[in-house]
Amino acid sequence: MPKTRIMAFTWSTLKNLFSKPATKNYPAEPIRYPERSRGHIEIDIEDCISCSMCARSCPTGAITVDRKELTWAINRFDCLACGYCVIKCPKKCLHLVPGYQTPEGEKKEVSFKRPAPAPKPAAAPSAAPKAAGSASAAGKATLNGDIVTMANGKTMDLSKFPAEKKAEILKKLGLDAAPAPKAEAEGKATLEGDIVRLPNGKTMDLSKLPEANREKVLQKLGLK
Amino acid sequence: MEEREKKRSVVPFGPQHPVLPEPIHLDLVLEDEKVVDVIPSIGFIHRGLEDLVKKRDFNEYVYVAERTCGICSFGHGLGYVEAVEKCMNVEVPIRAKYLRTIWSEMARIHSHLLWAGLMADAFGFENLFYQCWRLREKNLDLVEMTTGGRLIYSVNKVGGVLKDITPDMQKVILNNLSELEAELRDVYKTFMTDYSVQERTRGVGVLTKEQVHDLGCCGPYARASGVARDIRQLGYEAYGELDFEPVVSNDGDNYARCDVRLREVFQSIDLIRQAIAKIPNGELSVPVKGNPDGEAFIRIEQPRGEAIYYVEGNGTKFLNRFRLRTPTFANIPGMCETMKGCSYADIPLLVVTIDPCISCTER
Amino acid sequence: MGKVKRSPWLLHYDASSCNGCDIEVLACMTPVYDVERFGVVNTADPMQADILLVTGGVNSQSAEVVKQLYDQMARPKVVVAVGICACTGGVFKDCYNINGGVDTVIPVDVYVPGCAARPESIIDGVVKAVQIFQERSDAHDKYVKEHGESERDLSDPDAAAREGNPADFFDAITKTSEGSRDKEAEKK
Repeated sequence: MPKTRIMAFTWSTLKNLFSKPATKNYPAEPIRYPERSRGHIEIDIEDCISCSMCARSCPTGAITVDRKELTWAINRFDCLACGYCVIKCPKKCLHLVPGYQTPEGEKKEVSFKRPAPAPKPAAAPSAAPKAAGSASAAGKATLNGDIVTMANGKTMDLSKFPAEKKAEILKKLGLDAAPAPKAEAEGKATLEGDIVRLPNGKTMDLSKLPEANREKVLQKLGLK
Repeated sequence: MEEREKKRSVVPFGPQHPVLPEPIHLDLVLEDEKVVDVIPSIGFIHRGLEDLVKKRDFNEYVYVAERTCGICSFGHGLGYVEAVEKCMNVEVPIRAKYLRTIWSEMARIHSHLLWAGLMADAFGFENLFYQCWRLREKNLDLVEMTTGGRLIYSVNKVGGVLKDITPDMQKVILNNLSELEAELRDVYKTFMTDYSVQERTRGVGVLTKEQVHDLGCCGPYARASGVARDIRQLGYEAYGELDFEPVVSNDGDNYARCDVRLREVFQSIDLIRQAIAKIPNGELSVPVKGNPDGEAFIRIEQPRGEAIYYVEGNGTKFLNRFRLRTPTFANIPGMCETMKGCSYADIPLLVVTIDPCISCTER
Repeated sequence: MGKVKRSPWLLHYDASSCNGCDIEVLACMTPVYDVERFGVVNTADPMQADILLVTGGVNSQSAEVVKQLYDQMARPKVVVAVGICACTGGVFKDCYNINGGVDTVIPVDVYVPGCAARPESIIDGVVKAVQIFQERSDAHDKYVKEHGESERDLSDPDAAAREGNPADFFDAITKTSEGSRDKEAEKK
């Protein structure tokens, strides 16, 4: 049989009556957040590249990214403050900071617009084929060493393909007339100690290859 | 003398009721203030979130699984993540296991104090309700300092945890827990010795050990009837390295349930102290590659009892199936059994003693 | 906040919520965040309540209950949707059983975002609701003064045309397109 007391709580009640109130005087005093408190998402809009990773990863779909208009919008009345978009952003331009969205009479979205990206500068390799005399008129693919620059601006590294495929592609693009000497004309491989610098800009460390292969590579590149 | 025919009347209870934090509907069949039968009907919170595994990939789904319930939120996130890790054979670093244990025990403290407050409110002792919740705020301050949220922690991910508890934070935790423990002794004494509390709780809603086995109850509800089973003894996360015994009482009535849950708060404070003393250095998470394929089955001890998580993957980033069996679902038949034969005024108390978490049950 | 003449009473109902926002609403009543400083008391009787706090999205079963509670409340009344699930459906928008936020069933006056909504945020929402209630209450007093008792003779069709429908100015009036009364009338 446990003990039974009448008014067991009296001592605590009296203690509470005469001690400081436990109430946080909220509207009169501002809130003090702990450092890690999760409130809302903020973006450094200049770093955003409109890749939409955040919009795709958001569990509620609160983020909308418009690539054409270069805007990033968030519906704060839909945001969980979970932080998944912060983890997924490749540029790390999203931050989860303390502070909540104040209650409103209607739901609304907040939108940010980023500055338009600078136009891409003309790539250096495409200048050289003009010097080598191959057709560089708009609408035709150009070849520089092992890199083919297509009419739509995309580049393709031919060294990744086997020899027959390479010949096929060059024929298709009408570049098979470009002979090997062109490669020599402006894009020759250079050897610096153990590092070979290829015409497409890539470097290769010969010390990583076995002995037998090193000879083959140097012969192929015409460095021996 | 004529025998007066006792007429039966059916009184609906819920879904909106002052003592219920969540909607559940009970049809009580009464005979003159004595309850003869109870017919529960649920379905007010069913959202169908298990179906969302097909639309959210398995990494993102943690945020949905956490929001199955706001009170047992960390437990659900933990169970889901553990099940996926078992499916993909991922070994979590030891420091992450200790951190998860610490947060798990903090969640247990907050849940039991919440329950104690609601219980006090159910028998009208509002002052005690406010005191319990005032103590709970101290716990929530610690949680917010370490994870960033008060109820929804969002620190679990497949492969580990996202945030660390630094040594400074550990000191603050130990200080605050000591204060909380000292003040909790007063509240515990009141619950256990006050005359009015005992009048409402002793001898009410008795469940014997055999009934508990037959009806399949779990958690503190079963431990109050003498069944010494605590799933933490299986040793998941860092529990295998901590020293504790299940808290058991033998009476099986409401009074015993109050006793068991409040003593579990003291036990949780002790477990946190042990974990902070033993926590090793290490990484917080490991990178996870690939997609889950196969099945996995995990049991953890939520504040309300034993929760079972089942996950089935099919090699893509969307899981096939996620199934969760909650402890309240197992306790509801026990609740209905205790209600038969009790007086009408005890119904709110009996509903609150199982610690109902209807949003977990219905998902 | 200005002078508040009457203390509005709260009614809190959990539609299909995960419970997080409900616990924070209850935490507002406790000593640390004490919303009773503003004269607001948590009651359980819809017929005595002035402000309805709803949490959670709405599924097919709870839609009827929310509608019934709203209808049982006496005018003037204010509705506050607490948490993102009550505003838009939240994480569970795509679930098969959730229709959306609370404004698919009843008109909403104040939206309180957050998951789970912080008690300070809920206090802000309740304070706004108290102000809106004050305006509606004053307008209601004026109406009663001009037109006598607010009971109208419903059999008289001219009365509606002459005095206007009280529901238009004393009920919660939403500004979103999802739950406006006009849209309901259009559907009919």
